Amino acid sequence: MQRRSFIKLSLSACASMALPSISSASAVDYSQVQFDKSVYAANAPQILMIYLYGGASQLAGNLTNYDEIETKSQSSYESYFRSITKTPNDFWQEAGGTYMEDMIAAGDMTVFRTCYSKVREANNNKSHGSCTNQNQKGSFDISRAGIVTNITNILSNAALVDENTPMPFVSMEGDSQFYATGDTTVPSYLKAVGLNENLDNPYKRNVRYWFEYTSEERQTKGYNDAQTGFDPAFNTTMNEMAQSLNTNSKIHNAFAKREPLSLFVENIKNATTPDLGGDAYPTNSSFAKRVESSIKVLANNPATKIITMNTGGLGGWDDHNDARQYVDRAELMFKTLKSAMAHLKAVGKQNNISIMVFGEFGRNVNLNSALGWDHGNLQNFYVLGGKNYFSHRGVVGETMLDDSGSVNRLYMKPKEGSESYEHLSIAATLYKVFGVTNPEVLTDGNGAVNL
Amino acid sequence: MGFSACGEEAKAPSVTDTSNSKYSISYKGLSYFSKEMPISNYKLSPLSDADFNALQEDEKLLVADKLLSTLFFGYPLAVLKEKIASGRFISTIENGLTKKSIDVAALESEILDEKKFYRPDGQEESIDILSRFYAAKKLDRYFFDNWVAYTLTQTIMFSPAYELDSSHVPNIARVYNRLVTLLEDDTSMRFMTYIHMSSEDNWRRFRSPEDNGREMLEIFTFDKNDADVPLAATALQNWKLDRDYDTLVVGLNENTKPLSLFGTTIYNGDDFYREMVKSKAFTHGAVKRLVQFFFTDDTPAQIESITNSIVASNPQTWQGILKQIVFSKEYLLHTTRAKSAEEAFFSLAKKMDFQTRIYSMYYLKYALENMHQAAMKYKLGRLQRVPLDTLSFANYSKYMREEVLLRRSNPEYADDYENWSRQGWSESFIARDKFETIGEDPIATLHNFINYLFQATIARDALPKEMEMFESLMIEDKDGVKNVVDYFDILDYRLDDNGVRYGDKYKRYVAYTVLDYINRLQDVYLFKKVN
Repeated sequence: MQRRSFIKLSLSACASMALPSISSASAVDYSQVQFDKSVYAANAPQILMIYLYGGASQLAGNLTNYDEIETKSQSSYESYFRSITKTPNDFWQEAGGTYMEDMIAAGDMTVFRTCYSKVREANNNKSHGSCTNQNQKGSFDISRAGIVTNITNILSNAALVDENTPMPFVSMEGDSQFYATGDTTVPSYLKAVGLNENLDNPYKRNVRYWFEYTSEERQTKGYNDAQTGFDPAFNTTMNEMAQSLNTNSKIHNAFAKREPLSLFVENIKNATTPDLGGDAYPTNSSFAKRVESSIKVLANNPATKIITMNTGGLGGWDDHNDARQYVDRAELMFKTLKSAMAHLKAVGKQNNISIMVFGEFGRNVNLNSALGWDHGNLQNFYVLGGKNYFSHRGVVGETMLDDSGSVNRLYMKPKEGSESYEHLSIAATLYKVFGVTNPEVLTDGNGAVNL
Repeated sequence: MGFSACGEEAKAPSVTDTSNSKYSISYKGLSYFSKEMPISNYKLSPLSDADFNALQEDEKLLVADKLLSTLFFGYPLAVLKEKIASGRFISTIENGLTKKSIDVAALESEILDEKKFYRPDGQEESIDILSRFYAAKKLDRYFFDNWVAYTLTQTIMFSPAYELDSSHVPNIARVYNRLVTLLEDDTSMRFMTYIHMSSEDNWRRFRSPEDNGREMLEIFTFDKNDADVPLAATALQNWKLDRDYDTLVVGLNENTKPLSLFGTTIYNGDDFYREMVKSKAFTHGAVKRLVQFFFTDDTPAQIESITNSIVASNPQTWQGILKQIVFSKEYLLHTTRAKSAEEAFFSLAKKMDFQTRIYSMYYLKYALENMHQAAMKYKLGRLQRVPLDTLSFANYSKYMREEVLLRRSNPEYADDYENWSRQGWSESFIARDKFETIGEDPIATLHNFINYLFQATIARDALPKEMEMFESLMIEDKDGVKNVVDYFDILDYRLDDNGVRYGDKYKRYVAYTVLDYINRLQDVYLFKKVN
């Protein structure tokens, strides 16, 4: 593991930040953002962000404190999970650990084990809504714009994306706080578009009704044939008229994107995934399908800068009970991520495309009476690929157990002196990759992770 | 009334729902029943008949349509205009919601008719709920109580959350039907919430003492303080969802140490739920959840202001809160928001005398999922009531276009529910008595028909430039003389070989074209404010 200069927890910038008032509202001042076009050009970043809604336990990627946890937990891990095996890097073998070890060994992945928020600890905040808001906006001020919105505006201001950029931002999860506009505005043509794992095409319309053609148009043989015909000019006239009256920006945008998206989806659908051999994507998994489709979009359309997705198909990560399902879910997720890395390598895109995996928080490690975990504060941040701009470090950060002594309050936190980051550093990392040299102006003073 | 709550509820006094004395029943300060608040007590200013009558004619149509669509209802244009002209539109609708006029037994029997409504195993309940709104022809107390229950189950407060492994589609029926039953019986919103929170259905959603305690605090009182979670979890320490059977079990090992929450002392789970619903924070939280659901585009400050107005009226029933919202000036005159697919579909269905086929409601259920507006599916409800991202909206507008607006029900298949051609708007929707035909003037008649289609579907006239656009396709200029293109000539009285007027066939082409255009307008998907 390549060790760099650590930001020690005791000295960290985030620790010295006055704990910001979470309710304070202020607009993003893009004039404060320093953007380096050459960094952006050299990185040529394309990012798949996978958000683990519900707050995934950190244990899949960190069993270093397991022995102590087992002695202090309300319910026994051994008796419930039956088999918990540590890998050489203290991953949970049955929960994706084998795949993580492979990716670490190949230099494809870094696991940051110490994303931890002192601010949330001070504010007693382990709420899904506000923590997701904060993480997807990279700020404790939840009235701010989302991370993707900020990147959109930064790239737009630098004239690196414009109305001719096809589908720069894609959501595989519908709308989310990543796309919140806050006090900013985003040009309609740069707003994220939505796709699903099957690359279904609800954008397609049959508009070739014979009575909507003029008599002149009908002179052309096969004018409204589904394959060889053409759309009536009146269809365009109706679109233009309606759009001149559609003042709601989201609806206007959705209609404006319909036809181009229909063509885009048809093209991407035709792209094939190379034979990945033993690393083939898991079958019968809509999550794996979604990751595969995302990689296809990124690989075949360099103009797509960011895709966000949830883990629909795997289930949520809010494992308050029956945590055994977490093990299977994590196993499938990391198997899929290994397939995605193989996919990137097969198409020669492992250097500029990266994958970032994180959620709102990690979990309490007391296995409760319902055999699950309550919300925690420390989470793992998994980073894969992107070798143009990431020098992978394997496992980063050391943790310890924080036993409050009260029932069901058993947490992990960064070991004193360990490299550690606020969750907002994930946003800063993304900004940095896209060429922002002072990302902390967007993330309440929190810098990017060292990578 | 079949209560299924746990804990202290077993000690509750028996209730006879025919006695007015029930309104005085309470247990440990929790009132079980409540009469609905009179409009005069509303603090969020309601729109009166006088206010409504003072609006411009086009505004009246817009506001009337907004109110009805919000309630999943609509009237054919002529009926609506008649109601508006009565001068008592608002009070008539309001009064209608207090009385039962639907033949409930007949309605419930109709929606269970599997020749008309496909109800696949395991999904019957979700289909039934949609079918009921389609099949009910009157806007009465029963319809309204169903609408209230539907609204509540779309929110974070009462979502049955069948997307979860531990919850199932039948939980929809348990949550929804229980809400309807309790609403019908004038049950107080506090007692209803107490029953829901302590139900197995709720525990299937939030499945450990920490989870359930944390989420109930946050959902109903906006308490996000992590320090309160251990208190709630301790109070609920003997509650659990059995892992093998997804069954709520309340053990006897209750907590005996005093816990300080809601400004009082609690000990066990029953105390926790009961004292929460009695608290001021609950009233504020519950109202705010609904205000957020209806005023989706308002600022946090506006949401807070509206919430405070309603809280000031001291609401005791869900009906009282929801009526106060939807009949308010703030909502009807000053609010813009996206229409949910149910608001768009059910209102159009009633306006267009829409006919379904056996699979229509089944497909609607799946269409809602594709639009990311699935009914009662999500763990946290529809946090974003109407997603307008490109994918969700593409599915929404495609459904409205291809399954509703461009579908005409072929009367030949009126009795054939299996037939694809049965689904669509009725011929009656475009019958000649619905718009003014002008003697030998096909152009003026065409104009009237186009305006009728606009008014009947999106509650406004075609703009002059829109009319010009249709004229560019439908009217030709030959040697300086304007004529309607023959296949758009509604007044063509010639008969075809089947004895059908050509003009009737051509009228459909006009309708298809105009409705194809209307589908592209935000008016279909958006409630507008009145300026």
